[in-house]
Amino acid sequence: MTFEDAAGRLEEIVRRLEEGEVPLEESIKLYEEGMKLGTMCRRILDEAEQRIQKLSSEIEGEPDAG
Amino acid sequence: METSGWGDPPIEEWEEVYTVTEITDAIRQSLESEFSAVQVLGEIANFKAHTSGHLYFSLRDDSNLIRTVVFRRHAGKITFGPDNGMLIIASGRISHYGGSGQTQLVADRLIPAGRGVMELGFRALLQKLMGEGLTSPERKRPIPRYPSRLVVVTSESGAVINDIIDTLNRRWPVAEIVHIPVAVQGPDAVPSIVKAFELSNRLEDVDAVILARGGGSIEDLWAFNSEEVARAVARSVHPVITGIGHEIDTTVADYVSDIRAATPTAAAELAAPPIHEVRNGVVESIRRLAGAFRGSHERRLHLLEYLMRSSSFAALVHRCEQAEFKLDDAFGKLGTWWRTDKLARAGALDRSLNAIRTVVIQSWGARGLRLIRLLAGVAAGDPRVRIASSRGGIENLLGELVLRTGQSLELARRAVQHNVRAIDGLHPRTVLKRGYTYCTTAGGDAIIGRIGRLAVRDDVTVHFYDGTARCSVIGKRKGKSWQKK
Repeated sequence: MTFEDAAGRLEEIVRRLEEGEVPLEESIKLYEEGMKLGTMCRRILDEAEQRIQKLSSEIEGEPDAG
Repeated sequence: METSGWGDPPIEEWEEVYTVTEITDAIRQSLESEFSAVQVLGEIANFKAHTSGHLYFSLRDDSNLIRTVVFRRHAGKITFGPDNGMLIIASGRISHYGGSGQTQLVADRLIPAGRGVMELGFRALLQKLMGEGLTSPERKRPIPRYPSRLVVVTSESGAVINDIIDTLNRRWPVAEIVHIPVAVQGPDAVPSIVKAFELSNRLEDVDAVILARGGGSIEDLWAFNSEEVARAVARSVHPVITGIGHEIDTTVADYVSDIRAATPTAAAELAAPPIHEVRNGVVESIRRLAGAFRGSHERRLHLLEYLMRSSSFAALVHRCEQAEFKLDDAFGKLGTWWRTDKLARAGALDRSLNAIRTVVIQSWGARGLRLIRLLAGVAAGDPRVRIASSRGGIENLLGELVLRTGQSLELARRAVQHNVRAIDGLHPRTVLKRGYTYCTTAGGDAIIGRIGRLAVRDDVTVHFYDGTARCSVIGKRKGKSWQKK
């Protein structure tokens, strides 16, 4: 899961819970999922280390798509 | 009068003969008055910047050339670096130098002619691409907010790639950078940029492509005004951010890209959100998540509390307690009355107790169950129990239950009274009214029903309908002889 996906889903969960009217069981599930996503997002940010790859356009063939 | 074929011309014709100096002066005067302010378009050749500060070169086209000089005082004002092969417009005057016998252009101002020529080509190309809809706003794709993979198409050397990497690293080290080095000027620029896009199109999970080049003259940016590069940008599988030249430069590639940044660094900033703000946003989301979760349950708890504090709920509880107390009281009385002879009256008593219970349970049953379910539903957040509507619903139900409990209580009371009356007819007291008595021990706590339980001189109590008498046994006999006496 990319940061974009995780952050998007987290925002959606917060919005749903803030709108209210979510049944208890579902709200517990949403809360747990949201907490997991939040932790994951923070970990991605805290552990982010830039990776740089150089691709030569002169060399033909399949690029290393990583 | 003799003449030879090669003889001197007649003297009167000599006045039309110029000396070299005379003709040179004449040519110079003629040229300088006729061509005192001209603009000449041509390509520079044989360029030479003399140590004196003067510039010497030729301006030429396909078949001719003219010697040109720019004197030092004008050469210093030239803002670009003239060189061989460059197309320029030179402004100045035509002069003729006798010493070398050459006609030359004495220029005081040079303008790169490419600017105008390119401007015409730029407009034509832009018009064409606009006609195809390649610059329309509907084609612009959004750049993902939090990219995980960015392709950077720019030169391998120079400050631009370092500036972009520094910016991305500082703001958003989350994203992997894929650098595809290209030539950004010169004859290789167009094919290498086109090739770079072909390569990036084959890469997966790319959030955006940054196409960048540092500032330079309009000639330096020429590749980004080419049709091939413009079409490569338009065809890109991934959204393209252009950051080409300075703020004032807008190339054709900028028009067809998904978003144009003023500079290469600005392009990197557009692609990379500031990580500290994003981290704060995540922390805020987690805080809001916890708050919203707590909040949704607080609302339910508040509703339950509100219901329990409401007067109808209190009345219901009170009635229930009352009912229990009254029934207990009634049962207790019956039990006391009849504890000495349970077996005989057990059937009648049980029936009446059951009847009372049934009345109570029936009146409570379905409704009570619904109330309990509703309350449980509110507590559990059942989606069928909507906060807004359940409040009124539960209040109605409570009111109804209070009413019904009142009714059932009345029914129970009547049932008990009825049974008490029915049983009352069997009570010894009713028999005593008819003149019978009965005998108990002196304390009155045990009925003496058999003669065998009496001894002479025992003290006993004899019960009448309207009183008791303390007696002493003075004699006894088994059998019924006293009846015949």
